[in-house]
Amino acid sequence: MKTWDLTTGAAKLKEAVDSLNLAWTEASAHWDDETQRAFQKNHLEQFQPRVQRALDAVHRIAQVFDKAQRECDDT
Amino acid sequence: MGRSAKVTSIDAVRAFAAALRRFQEDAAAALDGTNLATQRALEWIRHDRKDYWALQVKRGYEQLSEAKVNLQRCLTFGRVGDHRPSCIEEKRALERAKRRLNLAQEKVETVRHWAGTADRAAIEYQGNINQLAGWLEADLPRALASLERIADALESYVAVEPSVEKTPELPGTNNENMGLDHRCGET
Repeated sequence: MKTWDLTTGAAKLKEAVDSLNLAWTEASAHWDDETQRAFQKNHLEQFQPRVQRALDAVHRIAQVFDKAQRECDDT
Repeated sequence: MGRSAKVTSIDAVRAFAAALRRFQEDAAAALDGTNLATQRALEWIRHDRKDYWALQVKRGYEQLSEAKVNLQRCLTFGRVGDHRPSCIEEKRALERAKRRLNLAQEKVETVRHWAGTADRAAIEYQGNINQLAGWLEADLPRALASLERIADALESYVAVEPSVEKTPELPGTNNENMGLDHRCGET
């Protein structure tokens, strides 16, 4: 019987990223200058690829576990 | 741009800093969840399944042995004169026991295969997760500190007399002190 759940954690991470992106969009509406652009370049643009890689990694290992479960179960 | 616009900018910076703190907590909790799920899945394959199918092999041999004995008993004691008993049920039970034992033996190998595959997948997974976790633990606090410095510098600047036209000297690097004269220099 399956006792793990990877989809909830991945969904929460995606939700957190979406909320942060929304907050940045809202902040950018009131803060739009070189400082803001430098902050985006030096900090925010550094983490987006890491988030995507993490989400992809969760998706890949979930597929491995799902297939392992199907093949290792007693059916 | 008037002074109210500067205050709006400061609020925007502070609000985003709060959002970044929430993200830090939420993302860390999400990663904790996926890490726990990964450990549970690995545990299930490495131990639960390994032990389960090893036990099924053991039971399979026992059932096979029992089925053979039952068939032999039927063939021996079911004979009436020259009539050989068919012992259909016993033969079917023997075939079932053989199939079950074969399945269990194959599953032992299947589990061994998936344990190795899952271990390799977990190493690849952890490498990618660690990159994000490292950003959350090391880089995000630096980003927060940078936001605090920017907001503090803006607040200090708007607190001075409107006639002051000097661009605030912001701490930090990477050109994050650029552009503030555009916001704060206007009175």
